[in-house]
Amino acid sequence: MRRRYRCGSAAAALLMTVSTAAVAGCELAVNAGNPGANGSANCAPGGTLVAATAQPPIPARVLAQGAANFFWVRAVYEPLLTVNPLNVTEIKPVLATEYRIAADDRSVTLKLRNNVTFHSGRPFTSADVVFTIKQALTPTSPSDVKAILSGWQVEPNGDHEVTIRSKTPLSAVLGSTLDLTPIVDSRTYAGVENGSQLVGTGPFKVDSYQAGAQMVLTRNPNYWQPGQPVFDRIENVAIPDSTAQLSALRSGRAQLSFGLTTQDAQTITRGNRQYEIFRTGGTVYPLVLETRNGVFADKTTRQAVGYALDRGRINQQVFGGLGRTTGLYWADGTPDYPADLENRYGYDVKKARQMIQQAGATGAAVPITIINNPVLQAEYQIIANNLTEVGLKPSLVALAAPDYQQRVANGTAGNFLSFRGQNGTAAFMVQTNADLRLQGAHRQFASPQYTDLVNQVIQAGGGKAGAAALKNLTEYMLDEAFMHVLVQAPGVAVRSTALQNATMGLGGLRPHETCLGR
Amino acid sequence: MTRYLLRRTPSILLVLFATSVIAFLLPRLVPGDPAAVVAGPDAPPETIAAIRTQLGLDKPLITQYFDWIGGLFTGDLGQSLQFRRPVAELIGARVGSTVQLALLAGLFLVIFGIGLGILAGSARSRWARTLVEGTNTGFLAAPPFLVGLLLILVFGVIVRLLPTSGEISVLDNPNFGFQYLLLPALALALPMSAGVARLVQTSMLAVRQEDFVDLAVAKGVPPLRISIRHVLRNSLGPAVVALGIRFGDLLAGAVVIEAIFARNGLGQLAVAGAQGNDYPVMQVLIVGAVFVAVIAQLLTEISLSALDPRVRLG
Repeated sequence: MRRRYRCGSAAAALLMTVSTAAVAGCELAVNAGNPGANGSANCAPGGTLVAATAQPPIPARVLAQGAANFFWVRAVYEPLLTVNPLNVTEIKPVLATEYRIAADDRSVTLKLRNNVTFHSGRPFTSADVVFTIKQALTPTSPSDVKAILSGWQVEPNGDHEVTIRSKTPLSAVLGSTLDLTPIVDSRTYAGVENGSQLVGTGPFKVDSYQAGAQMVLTRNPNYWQPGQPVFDRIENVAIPDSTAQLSALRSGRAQLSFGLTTQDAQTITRGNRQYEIFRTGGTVYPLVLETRNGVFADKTTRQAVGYALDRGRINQQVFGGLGRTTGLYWADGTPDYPADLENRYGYDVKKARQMIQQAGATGAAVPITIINNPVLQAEYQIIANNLTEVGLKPSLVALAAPDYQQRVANGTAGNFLSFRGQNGTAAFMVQTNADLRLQGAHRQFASPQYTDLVNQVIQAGGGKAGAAALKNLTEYMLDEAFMHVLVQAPGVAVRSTALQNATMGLGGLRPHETCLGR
Repeated sequence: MTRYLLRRTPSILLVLFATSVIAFLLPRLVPGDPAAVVAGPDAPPETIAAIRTQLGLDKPLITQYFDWIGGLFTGDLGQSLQFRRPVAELIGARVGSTVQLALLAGLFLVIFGIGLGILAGSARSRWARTLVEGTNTGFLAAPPFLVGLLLILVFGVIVRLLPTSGEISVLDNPNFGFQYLLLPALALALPMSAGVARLVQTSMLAVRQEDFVDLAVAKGVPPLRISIRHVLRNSLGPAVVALGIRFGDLLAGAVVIEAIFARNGLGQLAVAGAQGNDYPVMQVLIVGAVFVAVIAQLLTEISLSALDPRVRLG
């Protein structure tokens, strides 16, 4: 039941300002949210989900993965297939009803749903699949999976079937690639770039978009799946300041929040039955070393850094113990995961110091570039302590995003800390991940042997050959030590415990059945 | 006054021209490529290069400057690099939020600044003066973000009385809009009001020593009338100057307060523009801020001349 205050009530006494008179006698704004949300198992249809993200929505990046679009984009734009980000082998059809991979693993036929329409009312057909993949391949497209899509030929077989032919094995990359390529509407795609026309097939339609601030979605009454969605409305608001995000949660304004550090998320969820941590997907945090010149041109010094790093401390202090410290780039559960290569570099200060001395690198300067981000800053503090302990002289180069991203892309960042999504199998990662891929990579290392081993992983396509190829590549990466994986940690969001059936795809929240228990 | 304004026009235009050049060059001196932000964290160099061309960032600087200035004269403030929307639209969507906040904070600044100043400058009893001066000192020492956080803690968490996150326009819903404005406006105004109050207090105490006040007392003028008509009026000059200067501070303070209270005003746009090297947004906001400061300065001088006949415009 909503409280009402009359003139001369407590508000006037508390604030002691003339202005309070205007407030008193009126309904309080703090009581105007979702009434009665309490986390019970019963989900009532309707209501509004307020989801806060640190970055504002960026419609121009619909065809890419990104935290900015995490809570709205899959509500509007749907892929053919979706992948469980916590288990990348778990694939579910969305706009496709089924997919059949050929025996040679070089082609796949996808049957498309025939009862799907865009928000404009236009029926979805195979021509939209062809159009979407063409758009993802334009030079200015931000698509993360261009390297894979560029090797595909997409042919429509009638209105509701497409065949994809690939030069490389498909089964290991199909789910992730299609999940990260949601279907866009050819008639309105020109308006996606500035957010003026955002038309998809999803359970929610864009009601309003305020650039840099918020995206408001309303229920799509003609959604192809009966009974979905449950919410009437989603408000994705940008709240860059972590204190303000916490305040939005505590005040009950937001039920979902993404962009807090793990410590902040644990602060609000620990011992609090109102909120809980919501894992959004895997992220890998590597330290990439400059191997072309400087102290890390010597492999021994690079390996010494592997022994110098206290990954356990980073995991505990920066990621609240939620991560894993295997030292491997691949997500646990990836097919052919080389478990026997885990923890190749254990924390051994004595050994690291000896190796640094043998390499004649004692006292060498080690600048480390980071983007201004509290997680990477916290990581750096521990790394700097570790490297100092073994005789190196680390220094911090903290940069704003435009500078950091330019330097990293141009290969002028030197040693740097970064973080990347673990969006698929090893074969998918080595083609799309900026630290691993062969073309346009951000890492500071290249060798014919690395190229050869990566190509073997891509071509193997699973089975015994795939396992062997991945093991060989992993061994080589660990031996060359051109980057050290510090931690694999889940993406951390905070959600109200009243929020139920919140599921994630690689592209973000799939709010089809998400609801508030009342 | 018309003559005064006409005489000031050339210098105002010169200031605005110089500001336009600085506002254009300054963001470009910051290292980094806005195209890299648009392309995303995993983009290869080829994608970044293609986006640079698409955004027109590969054109010579002088061409970019004249394109922008030419646009300003036709009402086109340019396109945001990040959001691909007209800068005028981005500003238009936020200016209401910031103006509402600045106006209410300005009102509180006047009420609390001059009110506390009068109390401190008039209070006869020792305890009353100590109380007022203590309050003043407390506000002087507390930055707006701290006051904001305390207000959130008290009125948003301990006693859930007022909203602490988000906004509703006063024009759309006066009741809710006002409630959403109260805490941010207080957080912005209270610390600043202490400086104004201190000026009013000092000035009032000095004016009380003047001969004309003694004459008024000797003539038997009631104390309240002396305080209001003779002391306060002659003490407001420094406060008006301080209020004019503080108006610029209100806009600057709004950056922090908007962040804490999750309001989407011009401050947040400026932060987003600076973080993404969004040159067109930054350029317009810098020139706009200088323009507002110039207008505030003009209004201060006009108010001062109205309050004090010894001060003449020109």
